[in-house]
Amino acid sequence: MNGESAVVFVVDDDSRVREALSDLLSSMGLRVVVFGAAQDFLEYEKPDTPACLVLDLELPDISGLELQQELAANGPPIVFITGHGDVRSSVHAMKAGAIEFLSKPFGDEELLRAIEAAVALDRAARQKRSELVELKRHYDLLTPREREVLPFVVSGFLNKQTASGLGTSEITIGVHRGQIMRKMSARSLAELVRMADKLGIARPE
Amino acid sequence: MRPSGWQETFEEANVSEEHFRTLVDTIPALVWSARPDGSAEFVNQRWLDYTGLSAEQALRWGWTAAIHSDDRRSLIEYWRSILASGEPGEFEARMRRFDGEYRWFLFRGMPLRDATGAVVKWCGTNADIDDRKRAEIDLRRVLDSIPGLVATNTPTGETELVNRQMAQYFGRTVEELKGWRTLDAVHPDDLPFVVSTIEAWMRSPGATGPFEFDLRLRRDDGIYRWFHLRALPERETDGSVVRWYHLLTDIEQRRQAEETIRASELDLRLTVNSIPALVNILTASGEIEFTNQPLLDYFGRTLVELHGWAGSDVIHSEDLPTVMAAWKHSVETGTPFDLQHRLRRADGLYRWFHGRILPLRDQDDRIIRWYSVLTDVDDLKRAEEALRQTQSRLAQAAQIATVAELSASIAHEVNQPLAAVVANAHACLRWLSAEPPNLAKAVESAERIIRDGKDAGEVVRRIRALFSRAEAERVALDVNELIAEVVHLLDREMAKRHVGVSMHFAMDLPPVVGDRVQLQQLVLNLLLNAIESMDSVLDRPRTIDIHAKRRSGNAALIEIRDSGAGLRDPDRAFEAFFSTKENGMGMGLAICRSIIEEHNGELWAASSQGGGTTFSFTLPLKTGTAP
Repeated sequence: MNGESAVVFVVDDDSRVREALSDLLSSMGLRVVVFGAAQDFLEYEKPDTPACLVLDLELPDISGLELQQELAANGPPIVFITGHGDVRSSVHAMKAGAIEFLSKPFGDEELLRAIEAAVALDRAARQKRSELVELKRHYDLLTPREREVLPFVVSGFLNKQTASGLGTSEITIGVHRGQIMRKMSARSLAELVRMADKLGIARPE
Repeated sequence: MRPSGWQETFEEANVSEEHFRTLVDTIPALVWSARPDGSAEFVNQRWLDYTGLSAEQALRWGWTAAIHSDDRRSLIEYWRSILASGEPGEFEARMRRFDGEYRWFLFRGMPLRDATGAVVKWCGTNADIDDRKRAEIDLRRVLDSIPGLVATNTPTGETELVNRQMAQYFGRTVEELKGWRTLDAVHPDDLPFVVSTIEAWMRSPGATGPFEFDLRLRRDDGIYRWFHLRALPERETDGSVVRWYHLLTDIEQRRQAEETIRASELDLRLTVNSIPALVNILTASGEIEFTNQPLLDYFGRTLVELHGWAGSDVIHSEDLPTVMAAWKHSVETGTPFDLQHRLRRADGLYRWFHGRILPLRDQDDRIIRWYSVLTDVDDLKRAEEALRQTQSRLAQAAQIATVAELSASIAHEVNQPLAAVVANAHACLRWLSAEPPNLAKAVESAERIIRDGKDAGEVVRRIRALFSRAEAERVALDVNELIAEVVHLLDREMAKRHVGVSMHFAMDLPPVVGDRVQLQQLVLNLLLNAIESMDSVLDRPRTIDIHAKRRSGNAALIEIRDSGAGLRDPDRAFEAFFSTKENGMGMGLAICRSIIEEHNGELWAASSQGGGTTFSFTLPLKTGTAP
């Protein structure tokens, strides 16, 4: 594993399974935190590191599928484990974005592959999330006027066209454009266009 | 007084009249003579002394005044009859003594004839027979008061003496009966027997009897009546019979009563023989006294063959010890016998019978007889057995159905420890193959493998027990433990359906006796029922309360209370095919009932206060558990 060290959360109400998984994952060199109930996991203060959730499908308080819905996009990728192995539940889980659906008992390689995939996914998502945060921070530096100008710039309008569109002088637009490039740390117009895309900025008609 | 005619006689005999007179007066007898017309010519002094009459009073017809008035007329008639016939004669009549007392005398008269044979005179004596006559009268009185016909016979069968009853019966006078052979009156059907019997008595002079038999005798009016004859021989010193004394007792009524009884007995016998059961009457000690025809037919034996028969050879060898013990108990305690066992039919086939034997007691409460009825219950037994097997198979089917329903839970139960074992094994390998190997951690992992492996084994054992259909066995069981095991099996199911369970067990509850698997099935069915009944409950907690405690009467009481919708008709809940569930067959509770009945317990349902249903059942505690 590269980069930040990942953490594996395990939620299973069976203490034997919790102990075994904790031991196995430790022997793989992973950080493990185990929970006996979904609620405990929800209340847990999670570290800001790539993570994955190994979740028992059948839990006494709320079921694994319910927890999956509750976490939605905010939670770490989920590897489901189940003692039932019934098809309907697994279809639901996979459709809802589960990484893997493992039937108990499962091998260590299966589990490790699933966890690695999940962590990689989380790492990527986290990467993506942190870039966007950076972009937003830059975007927040722009003045309201500059935010008005940005869509015209990234849409390939000439300064003159933009000035007439916004009812100002060509010179003023040139100044705004320079400020935008600087504040957004964009080295080229092409890079600025990609940034605007990531930020989801709408193009003028 | 000068008797004429005598003189010549005495003269011829050369006896003086004086001497003759002295002689006649000295004879210790009453002597007289009469003329051919019957009038008295002479009476001796003793005659006069006895009657107290004078010669003048007695002579001619004066003597008749001394005769008892009852006898006088018949005596005179008789006297006239022999005077007419000229034959000697004798007659008994009472004659008054001088003091007025009457005594019996035998009057004897003899004609005296001349050379031509004509009667010239009658001579006679009156002998005092009073003592004999009175004895005879007494005897007659005795004989006539005997309630029966009395007769004496000569060894050749001629009648000598009969009593009045006899005379009346045959409608003859005592005189007529004398010399009559009574055999004439014997019923023709009885005659050969009577003759041969009497001849047999004759042939064995040493026989002592009793000489008796029953016979029919024809009455005067031609009707035959039954008599019981008792005969007694009078013997000479050499043993030869000189006389037979017979007493004939009229037994017609008894005979008729016997006939009635015989008819009713026959009727009873016909009835008993048409009873579709084997009927037996035994003596107090258990010997066969009577059996009906169906019994003889079943065993293919005759009543004679059954004499002294204990029956042990037809009782199935497996049942014999129980039957013998029960019968011994009944004989010893006088209590009725009630047992089912197999009996071998004549063709060797065994059939099941329900045997019941009741004692018949006399006024002193002593057993005088046993009445035994054996009812063939073979078909019933087979039907019962078939029903039991069906129920058993049904229970098994239900068990499998339940197991199928629980398969997800069961899979989870098994897979859970298995997952732990596999994970631990992998961890163990990783700890061992690490650089450097982490032996301490590897040991920990290995220890958990063993622990969880055992767990898995335990789960498998429990599930096998649920599946297994061994013959029902009776063992001591801890109810609390049994319930807890089933509840544990349902943990997941209940969690999934948001059902909370609380158990309240009396810790000092003694063990019950039963079949573990069946009772687990029972508890499982009741719990599943409770869980399912709460599926529709959304507005309140879904709870199951289980109570196990001791109930009076040496039983354990188990209550399972749910917070479900409650039963609309608790009494019908246990009927087969009665279900309030859409998908239910309605067999679950019916099976519960059959299980509890097999355990001699009770099972009932009632609506709980505040909603829901309480299912309760009892199980007998192991005997010997003191309250």
